[in-house]
Amino acid sequence: MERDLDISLFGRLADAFGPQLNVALPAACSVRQLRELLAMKYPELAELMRSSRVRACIGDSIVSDDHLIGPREQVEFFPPVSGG
Amino acid sequence: MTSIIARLQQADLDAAAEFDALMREAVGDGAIVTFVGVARATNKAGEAVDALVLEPHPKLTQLSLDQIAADGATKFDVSRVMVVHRFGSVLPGQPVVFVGTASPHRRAAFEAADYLMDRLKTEAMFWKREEGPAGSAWIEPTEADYRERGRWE
Repeated sequence: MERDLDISLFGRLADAFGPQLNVALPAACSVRQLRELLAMKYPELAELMRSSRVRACIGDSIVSDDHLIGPREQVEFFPPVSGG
Repeated sequence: MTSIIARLQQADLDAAAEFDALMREAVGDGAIVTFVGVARATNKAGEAVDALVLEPHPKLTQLSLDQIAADGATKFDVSRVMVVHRFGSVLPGQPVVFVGTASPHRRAAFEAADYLMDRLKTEAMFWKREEGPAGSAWIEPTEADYRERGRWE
């Protein structure tokens, strides 16, 4: 069963396609698989999506690439942050 | 009990007013240290910068400031920790961040301020870009920033 997943992009990740994407997600998809799916679908994002410097966040917590995306979860991707 | 202020604001940052407030509150402390980070007028290549733009996360930016300030308060013998950070568009010459610490003795106040800035540079949840006549460029922490952060591990 596929489902629609809302994805929020921040910083330079939003340069090419804006801050929101919606993709059809296969059942039992991990963050790693989502990164690859986005990299294939949006070649402009491929390098960043495959970078370990870009972190995935679900429910306000950073998650590992092994995390299986739950049915009601939304995913945010963060490039490196910097204040000051 | 350390007093902690961690404030995120879009409005201009009045560093002198923040200092005055800290000075007023830090009664009995022997040392106050402050740091002000200011938006630069040129980028690393020496080209003009019109504005530094800091994009925040709707929730996590404030939480990151709270966490960094709380860690500074725990790690050092300080009685007050202040972090005031702007988001949005900051013009060259304007303050981006104000860090203030107060302590009975100077060493802890110096070290806490240094620590807070190293954490803010690498962990405060902002996406930062410089806008200029040549366009817009994202700014990420440098290797030196990460090294400085690593000194406190």
